[in-house]
Amino acid sequence: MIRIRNLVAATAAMAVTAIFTLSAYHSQNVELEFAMFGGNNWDVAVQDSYVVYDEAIAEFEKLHPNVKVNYVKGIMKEDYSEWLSEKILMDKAPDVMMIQNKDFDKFAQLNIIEKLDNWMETDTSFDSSKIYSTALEAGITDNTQYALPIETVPYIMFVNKTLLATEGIEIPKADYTLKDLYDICKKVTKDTDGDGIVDQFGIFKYSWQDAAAANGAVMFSSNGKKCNFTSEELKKAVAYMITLNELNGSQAVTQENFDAGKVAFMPLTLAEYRTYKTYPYKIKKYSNFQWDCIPMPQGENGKNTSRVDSLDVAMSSRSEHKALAWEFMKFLTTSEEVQRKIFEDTSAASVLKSVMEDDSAETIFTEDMADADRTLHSQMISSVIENGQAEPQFSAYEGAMQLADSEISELIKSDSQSDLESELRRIQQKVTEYISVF
Amino acid sequence: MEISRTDGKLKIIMLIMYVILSIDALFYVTFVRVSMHRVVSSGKARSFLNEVGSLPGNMQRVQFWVCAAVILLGFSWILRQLTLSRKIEISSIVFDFILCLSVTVALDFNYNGLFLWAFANCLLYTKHYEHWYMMMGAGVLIYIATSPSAAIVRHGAWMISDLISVFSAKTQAYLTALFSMINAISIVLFFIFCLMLIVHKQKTIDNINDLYERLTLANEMLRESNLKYEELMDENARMAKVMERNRIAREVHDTIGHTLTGLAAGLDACVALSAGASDTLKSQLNLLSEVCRQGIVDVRKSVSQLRPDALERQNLLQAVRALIEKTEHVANTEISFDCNVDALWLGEDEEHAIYRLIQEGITNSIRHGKAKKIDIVLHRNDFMLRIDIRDDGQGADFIDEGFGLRHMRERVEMLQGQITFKSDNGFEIEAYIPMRRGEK
Repeated sequence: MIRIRNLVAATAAMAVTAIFTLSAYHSQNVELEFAMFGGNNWDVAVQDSYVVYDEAIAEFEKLHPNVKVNYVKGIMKEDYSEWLSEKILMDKAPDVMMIQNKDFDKFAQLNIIEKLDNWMETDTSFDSSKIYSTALEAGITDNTQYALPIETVPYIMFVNKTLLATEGIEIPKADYTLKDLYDICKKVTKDTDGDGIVDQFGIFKYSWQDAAAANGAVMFSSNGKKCNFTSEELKKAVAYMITLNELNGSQAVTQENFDAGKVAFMPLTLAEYRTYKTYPYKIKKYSNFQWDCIPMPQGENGKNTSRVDSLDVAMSSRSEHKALAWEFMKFLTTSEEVQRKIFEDTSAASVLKSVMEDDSAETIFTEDMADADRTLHSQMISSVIENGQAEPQFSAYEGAMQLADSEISELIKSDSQSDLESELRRIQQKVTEYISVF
Repeated sequence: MEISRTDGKLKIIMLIMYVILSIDALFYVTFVRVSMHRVVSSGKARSFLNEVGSLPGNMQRVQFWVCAAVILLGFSWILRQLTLSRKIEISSIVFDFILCLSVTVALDFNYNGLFLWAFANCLLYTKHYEHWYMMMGAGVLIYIATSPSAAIVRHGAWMISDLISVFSAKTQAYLTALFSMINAISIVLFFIFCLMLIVHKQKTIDNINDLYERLTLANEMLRESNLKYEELMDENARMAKVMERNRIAREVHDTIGHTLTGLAAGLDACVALSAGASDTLKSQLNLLSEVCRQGIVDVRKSVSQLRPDALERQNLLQAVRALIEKTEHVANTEISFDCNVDALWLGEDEEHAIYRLIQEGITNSIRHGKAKKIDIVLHRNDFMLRIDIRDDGQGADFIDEGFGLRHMRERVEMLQGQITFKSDNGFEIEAYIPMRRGEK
């Protein structure tokens, strides 16, 4: 009996020693896996997408001498989701990974990515107020923070300066309203060549969601359990879209019209703006007319509310080095150097207010742009992001929004101002039914 | 007869159950691994994630753990076979439940068949079924709570069907059938086990009942033996008393009687010698002689009174004859005694039994039969002594062996003899007693 007990004690002691040795060895040489895709999240061309992250990683490794951050080069945006899913299924999920919007909800729902609330609360050196709340919100689903933003991109309004000049209209001020936008659109919508067909238009790609955002309409509760499609704000937005749509008559505005300089306005992302305003892309697109960007229009009671997109990083919930993974995520998000570099080298904006509002940011922003009479500047972008609206994140969102979009688009096309209220009630009912299943 | 040990047939069905359920669990985890590889290699990883409600864990680790758990379950079973300690049995079953739960959790509740193994062991080692409803309730609850369908309700876990759907339609049909069959076989095995257990327990119960019956019988016999023993003890005590009285009588007869006889003879001589002496002396001597003779008579009387029974004073035949004479005189009944032997060399117990038999027979005939005539026959051949007592009394329509008759039978049977009672124009008792070997 005593012999057996001794044997057990000896085995336990050996096991403990082995574990300690192994863990000591581990802490000396930690390899952190990082997953990112090449190219660009914002569907614009980019020259070398890895440079920024190579530098950030080198910096991080300097701060943590025992850590080696590995990542695989050459995974493109289109293949990234599948590649990452395979890694996850084989239980080889990287410790830190870039998360695409289409994966975010699913990954959070499947607990593939770690909940960050606790990390954020306990880490005193992490100050979430430094990050744009709009950008931070993109990493929240079902009231829980699952990801941190590293890049952010707001929607802004493209203005065809040449067209407005020809029509004798001034470029709207930054605080222009939906009504101002409508008035300009009404003025420019006409048949220029006299063939009886309208060939010059006011606006392209402006959606009812943009109008709703401008009016400050909130369609979903933050947990996605409730929806509201009968609010006064939304009703006004839809009514506005109907009148705006009526201007074009039976004509549909196309990308060709826009590229030919026949459309005055179009929402586009900051990334597109920065790409097409700078060399060498400047000469490839929209080169036959003068253009610039201004913030999105204000609603009646709203602000210049733009939709804001973010690129997020998340931590694997099965990571063996969560503390380090958190450090790395935090480093990417909150290190001013890294964020400045991101603002400088990518077409997106930084998620840090301090970076966007710094004097050097202005230089970065103007560096490659020839136009002297730019309306847009870094400070303005900062306020656009600050006042922006992140797309809500919950499991039913994509489906519910698709359903609502098809219904409301139909409603806008049908020009039925009269029974708008009952139609919206019907949509409300349909969407409620849809989200109640989740 | 051992009750708690596992029966051979039960052992075999348990072995089959163990092997099949273990293979099932291992098959599940292996299937998951194989189909995951298939998902990944066919580039459907992302759409697969869309289909599932939760993510399978690290299947390599799960597979390792299932193997380990199955081996541990086997060890735990073997331990139960070897141990006699109740404590070890119970704790090993609890250990089994924990293992089963861990495997079920590791497989995300897709397979809970291993619990059937734990239930089977639990049933097998349960000794008291007073709380059977609680056991049944707990069992049903565990089985349902860990079943795949309950898991979906609980947290939308991944299902084996999600993985089956990555195969071609034809293979899917086969796989679905295979998985249903695995579940069905598990349950059928458990069912067979339960039936066999019931049969086994019933056998045990029968055995216990049988043992109980035998015990009751033995108790009854013991009680009777006790009674007999007590009688024998009484008899012995009586015998001892008789022997002691005999001894005392002999002593008195041999010592005082002898002395007195000598004294009487001496006194007679004195009388003869005192012819010339005074008359006073003569008459004094005669008086003494007279007193002495009276003393002898008194001693004889006392000795005679010390011997309690005719049998003790006489041999068997004399005693029987004295008994008959006395009874005839007292009861006004005619008794004939036909005896073909002059003397019998019998043991004291035999004599005693025969005398009591005849005494009891005569008493019965007179008391119950109101007989006027009794014929007693005592014949002997080389091996056998036959005693027959027949009367002309009322007899009995139905012979109920009361204490008297039973006593006779017992006495005769103790001597390896046989006794029969008949009632036909009176009552007849016929007994045969074998003569002991080595005796004449």
